[in-house]
Amino acid sequence: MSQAPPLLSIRRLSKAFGGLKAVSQVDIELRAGEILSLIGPNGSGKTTLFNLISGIYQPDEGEVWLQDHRAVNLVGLRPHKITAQGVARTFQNIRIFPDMTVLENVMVGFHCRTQSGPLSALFKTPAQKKEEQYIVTEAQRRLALFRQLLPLINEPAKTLPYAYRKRLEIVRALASSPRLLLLDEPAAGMNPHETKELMADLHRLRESGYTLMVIEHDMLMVKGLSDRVIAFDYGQKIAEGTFDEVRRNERVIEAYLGKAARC
Amino acid sequence: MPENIYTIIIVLTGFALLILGLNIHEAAPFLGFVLAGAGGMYALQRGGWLLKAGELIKRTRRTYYASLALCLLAYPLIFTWLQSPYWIHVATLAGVYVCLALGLNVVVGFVGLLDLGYVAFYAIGAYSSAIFFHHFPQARWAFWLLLPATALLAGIIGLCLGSSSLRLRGDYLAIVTLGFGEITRIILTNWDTLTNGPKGISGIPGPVIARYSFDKTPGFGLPRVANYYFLIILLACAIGMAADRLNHSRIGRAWMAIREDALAAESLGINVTVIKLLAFAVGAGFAAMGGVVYSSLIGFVDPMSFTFMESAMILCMVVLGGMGSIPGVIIGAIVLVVLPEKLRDFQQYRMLIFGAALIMMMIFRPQGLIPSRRRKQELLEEEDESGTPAFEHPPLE
Ligand SMILES: Nc1ncnc2c1ncn2[C@@H]1O[C@H](COP(=O)(O)OP(=O)(O)OP(=O)(O)O)[C@@H](O)[C@H]1O
Ligand SMILES: [Mg+2]
Repeated sequence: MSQAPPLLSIRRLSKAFGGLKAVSQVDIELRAGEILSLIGPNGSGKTTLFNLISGIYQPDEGEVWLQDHRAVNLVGLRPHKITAQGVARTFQNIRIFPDMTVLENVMVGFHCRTQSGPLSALFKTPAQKKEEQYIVTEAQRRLALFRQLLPLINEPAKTLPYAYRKRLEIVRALASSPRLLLLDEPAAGMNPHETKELMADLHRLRESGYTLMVIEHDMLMVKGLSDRVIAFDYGQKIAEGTFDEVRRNERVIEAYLGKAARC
Repeated sequence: MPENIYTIIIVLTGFALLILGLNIHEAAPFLGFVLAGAGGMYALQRGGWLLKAGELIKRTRRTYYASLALCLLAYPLIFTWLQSPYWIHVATLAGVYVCLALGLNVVVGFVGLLDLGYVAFYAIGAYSSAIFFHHFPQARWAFWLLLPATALLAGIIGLCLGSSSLRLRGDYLAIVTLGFGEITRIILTNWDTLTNGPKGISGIPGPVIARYSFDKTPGFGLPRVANYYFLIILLACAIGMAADRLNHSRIGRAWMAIREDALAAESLGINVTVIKLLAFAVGAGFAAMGGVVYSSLIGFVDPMSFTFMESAMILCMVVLGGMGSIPGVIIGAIVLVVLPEKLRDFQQYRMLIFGAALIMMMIFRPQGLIPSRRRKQELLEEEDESGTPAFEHPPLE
């Protein structure tokens, strides 16, 4: 392995809601080009971790360093600034823009990588027209990543079937050209066939240079996808390693099956 | 070519019906006329003809706008010939409200923020111009500078209001803006030295352009007010075009994204605060320009012209016309200016009938007269009850 500093390093990250420690003293390192899966029982703090990284929640303690040209601490930045730094995400309960078309959804994703302001829109300057054209072509290129979406680009997003909406949300996140992509249960609600397709698509994403952190409950998916797996329970990291290592870890078995399973 | 002719026929028929309706002088027959018109529209819609007409107009854009322009040009001539210049005045007033409704539509329709104190920006425009002319009555050419200058001033005040209140959500924002509208009116009433208090400022002169004065008739026997009629049409067209261009730009997409899901918009890299503020400033600027024209048109401003009732009326125009739809909002403004004028005969029942009409509208056509493309889809989907209607966003998963 190379000696380059990790793309993301999370240190002693903690967040409590009242008395509930949703995330407590978590350390994670992520190398560029890696696919890291987060697993853990319901309510173990996985989504909260994503919300902390993406700036939707402020942590009580800890740091999140993103290695760009230089290292940047994401803690304290507003969500849109964090996206501009190169971290994009999807949501567990899909949050696409229902009344916009598929294409428009993706076009919105280019917001922080483009700059036309109100005046250039009012006067339709050549630069603005060129940028709009650029956004449309680039959005179509990103959509081509999921071939199924291409024939639907002018449909309102709310008319898409569930699995397509999940894919659309991923494409929309890609529009901001992130270095790191956080996917919250991308395969939830998909049938085995769709899950397999998604897995191939995510592998292709990695090959084209993205780094992925994926929350997932579907163990076949986790197995087929991950370079490394981290298991959570009660807001703490309880195991870390390859899929097989984590699967055999006693604390993980206990977390999933309860103490009885050990006897 | 025949398509173009159909478009011309559609526009001319609409125009002829409008002229006819305005010339029905008794209130009761007029009401019958309106009801018949609404019934006719409903039948056309049921038969799918409205949809077809809409598509036809889309295909023949140029012809459509050209024939509309012709009608707008003919309107004052026709009413001069009919010897009822009063309706030119009403049309000019409707133009002012079109500007206001287009501005509020940016805030309410595009971004989905409820602003109940919008009239304040209208007042700021009207009073800025009135105060200026009170001190420099000779500088009538300055009108043309006042238009952009007051728009800028109102925009900045809009930014100040917004930056202190946009963190609030929904109802709370509505209350703060309501308060802002009232505060503005109270300041106008009580700051005697600047605004002449409740007596208002009178004698506001009309503008001049080169040697041409707006206080003279433009010829063809047209009344003085026809000058303002043409001016407000130009201004409303400019504002409508500006709103449309913004709507179809990067900024407009961000507005819509915020309206649909602010949290998702923010995590896509949109600076929600700044983009919302921009909408506030743009809306404020449009209203101020409307205010400048209004003060010269009427020649007089007083605080009673800028009550909460006005804000509510402009909001009605936006909702009635179809939130987020530019043609809809224009029609909404025209209808809500003309209708009360026509109902004057009913005297004390006027507002009652007016209110009943609004309620009927909201029951039978909640999406507005000409709904925006997106809202139309939204409502159609609810009608057939299939698919996945509920798009609920819990605050956070
Ligand atoms: N905004 C909030 N306020 C209060 N409690 C919260 C909030 N968000 C999350 N929690 C709590 O924090 C804990 C961790 O929640 P989180 O959503 O991170 O779990 P998760 O691992 O994503 O679970 P799942 O697999 O069900 O998605 C839960 O007990 C949850 O109820
Ligand atoms: Mg979760």
